[in-house]
Amino acid sequence: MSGSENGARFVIDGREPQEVSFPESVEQAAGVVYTAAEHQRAVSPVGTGTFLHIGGLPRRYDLALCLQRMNRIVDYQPTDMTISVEAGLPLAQLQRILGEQNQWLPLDPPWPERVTVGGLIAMNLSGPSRLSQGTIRDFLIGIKVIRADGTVIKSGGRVVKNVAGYDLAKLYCGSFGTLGVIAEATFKIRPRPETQVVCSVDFPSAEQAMEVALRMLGTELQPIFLELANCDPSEGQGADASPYRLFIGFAGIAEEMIYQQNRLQEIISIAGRNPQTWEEGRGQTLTATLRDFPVSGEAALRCKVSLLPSQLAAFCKALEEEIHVRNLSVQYIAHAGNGIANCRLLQTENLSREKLLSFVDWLRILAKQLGGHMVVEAIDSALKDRVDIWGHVGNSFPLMKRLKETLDPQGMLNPGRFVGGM
Amino acid sequence: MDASFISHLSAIVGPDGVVSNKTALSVYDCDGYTLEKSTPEVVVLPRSTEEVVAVVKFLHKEKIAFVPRGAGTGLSGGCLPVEAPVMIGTSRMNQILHIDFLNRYVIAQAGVVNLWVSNAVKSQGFQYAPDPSSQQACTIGGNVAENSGGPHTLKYGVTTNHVLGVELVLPDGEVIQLGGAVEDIPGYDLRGITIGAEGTFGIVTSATLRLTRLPQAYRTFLAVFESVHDATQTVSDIIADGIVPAALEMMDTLIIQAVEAAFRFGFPTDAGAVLIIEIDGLAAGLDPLATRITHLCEKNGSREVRVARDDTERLALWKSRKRAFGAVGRLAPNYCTQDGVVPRTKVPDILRAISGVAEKYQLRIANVFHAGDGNIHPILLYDERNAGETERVLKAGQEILTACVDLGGSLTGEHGIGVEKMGQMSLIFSPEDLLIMTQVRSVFNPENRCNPNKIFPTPHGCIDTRVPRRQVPL
Repeated sequence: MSGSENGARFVIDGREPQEVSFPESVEQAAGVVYTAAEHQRAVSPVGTGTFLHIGGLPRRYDLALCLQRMNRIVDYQPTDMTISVEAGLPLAQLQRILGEQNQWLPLDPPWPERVTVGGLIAMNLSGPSRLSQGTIRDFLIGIKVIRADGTVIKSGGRVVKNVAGYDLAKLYCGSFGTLGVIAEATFKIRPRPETQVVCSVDFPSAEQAMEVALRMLGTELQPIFLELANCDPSEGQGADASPYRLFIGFAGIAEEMIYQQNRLQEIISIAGRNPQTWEEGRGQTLTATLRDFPVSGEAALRCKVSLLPSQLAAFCKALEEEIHVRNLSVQYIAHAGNGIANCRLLQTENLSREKLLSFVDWLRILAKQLGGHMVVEAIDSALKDRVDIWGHVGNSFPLMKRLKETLDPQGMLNPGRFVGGM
Repeated sequence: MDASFISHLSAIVGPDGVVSNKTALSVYDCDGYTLEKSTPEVVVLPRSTEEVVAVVKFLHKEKIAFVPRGAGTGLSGGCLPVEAPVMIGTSRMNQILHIDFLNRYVIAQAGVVNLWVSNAVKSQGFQYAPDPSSQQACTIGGNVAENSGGPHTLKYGVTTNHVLGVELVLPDGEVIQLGGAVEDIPGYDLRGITIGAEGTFGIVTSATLRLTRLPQAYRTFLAVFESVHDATQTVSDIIADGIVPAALEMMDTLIIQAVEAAFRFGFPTDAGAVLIIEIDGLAAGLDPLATRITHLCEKNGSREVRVARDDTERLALWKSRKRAFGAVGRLAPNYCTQDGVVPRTKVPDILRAISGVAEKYQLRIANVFHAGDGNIHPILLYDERNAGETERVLKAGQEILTACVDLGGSLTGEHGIGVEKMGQMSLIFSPEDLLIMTQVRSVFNPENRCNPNKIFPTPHGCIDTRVPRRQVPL
């Protein structure tokens, strides 16, 4: 039934699973989960194993349930603009199939060639386009899930509007594989925009960049994304020395593009700046670079800071001052309209473990002071037991715990790795 | 309810916040779904989260079940008190607590009327996108409970896509914050599961709502067709062409005639069907899209494609559409509406099935609905005084829902299951599917004392199923 393979591909924080299973259908996967439950074995659902560095230390890691072989298109109705797929399908493959009909699932998380549909949902991954398109919860209209005891359940369906029964699909978005194994998903999809262009504008400070960004969001302009970077994500493109840069993506038909670029020019020139337009091929490369930033390059620490967009400028300013004092090097690209900054602390010679941990604490306090939140997305596994990876999530945590205990009473699904050690 | 119970509630919300007089209570015996009625023993009207907490804690201590209620415009009996003696109404919790234009969100108390939110932010060029047809009356709390839709959800999404957070009072009186204006806080999306839970998890006391920029420009069309088939084919063609209009609504002859009689907009009363098609966005992008849409209408034999000349005409057209249900009273003394959904390309099939059902049960059925979403609203017209007609209506309604399910659809797109469609849940859900849902409910509402006897098929006793005495205006 299910093959076994060296667990080296699916190492989590230095731990190999005792066993890896590769089911080829929902039924097989359900059988594996059922058997594992019978034998009190912990199950961690995995896709390609690309994002296993995210999350807390596993409390147990008996079985890696790899869904890669469950990669079928179950049903695709282009004229209904819905598609049902198995969870192991890589996002890029899904996009290629949709692309043949000029459609897409309008999400752009990092590394689409590797991220699977199940991983996308379980980790609530997103990218720059979330500004205009939303996140996975906005497109997931139906789901099939294997419960902790191996029972298969479904919620939603293949229609774009549906309020029959509880909206269980939402529970699995960002659930980190701790409530069930996502086996199949149905999405509503969208027509793919005819054209896309990226403009960039340099600023002397993050505050000035954010002021323009927020002003732009108060106009009729409809950027598909709006990113603020303190670094040059497109090295080798002959960028100048200006450290703060807004990247503005526009998508649509030609008439809309021309109008928006002209309006952008007007808005920017009031601020005394000049936009640069990135042509097709270069624009695509740049877009991919922005998209992949949260996972690309080397870093001693990666974290995601969530704030109200109006607090981003204050965050950037405080960060800049602090890293100067601490003599650290931090790069970030923020979804300026959503208030989400993906940060990476570069590995430098003088960076000791204590210095790193102290910086994590400082970042978390800063995020909290600004009314936001910080999640550590990548750090040396050896330090994970000294860091609160997910941070405090508010007064609904006891309810989350109750939910986890209700849906996974034995605590066998991806134990230990999610919020509060769930 | 004894006097000390009433006086305890009065002490919390003030004497003017408690309704216990029989006549006054009759207002609360149903919502917009009038086929079943049940009167609460007492209605409590708190003004704040603190008062809700005090009331709910008291009820928890006394082990008394309760039901939350907004404006009572629901269409599935979601706030019908069934073995729940106390009703907690949110009508006095009507304050918009916070508006933040820079970060584009609003915090509103549960009893704030949907349209008030858009009105409060219009001057700065914003709107709250979900626009149920009852938006002049329905409340944010009710919208959250039902995950309400509306005509413009085709492009903009439904309530769940626009509610960033909710404050929820659990059935034991604990207050929790789910989600909020800051995005991507890790943990389970309890806000997401609470939206659309039909008030069975607790009482939502306030919600954080996403604001959306008003579009720069609109084009609103009225396309006139000889037949329902031609109109629905046009709907399929528009969607298949990769166009996502802001709204795509259909009305058939019966509705056109009723609406024209009521609002005198100038609808062609001899038409087989009309489509209201709206596109919005940047002015620069609308003309090419308008040309494509007009071409698709003409290809399917539309007699005429009118364009709203100005904002006044556009608003008049939408007023006619959104109040269409209200105009139905002209067609028959009683009506009952369904809310099934089918995959969008199956709209012609379901319309054919509906006319078959109408013929079989010798009923007149009018259609006005969100065609672009595949969300039908067949309105079954009848006269309760004719023997056996009410029963025929109930059977016909069930047959329509079964047809929706057979076409790959669902029981309800935006009205909810409530008490109305509890019996049909097993058409689309297995016992395992229903079990996990009730388990999730037990996480929030372990003793099932908040809005019991809803959504899931259970035997229930003291409900008065009878023909409607009045129609609730929508």
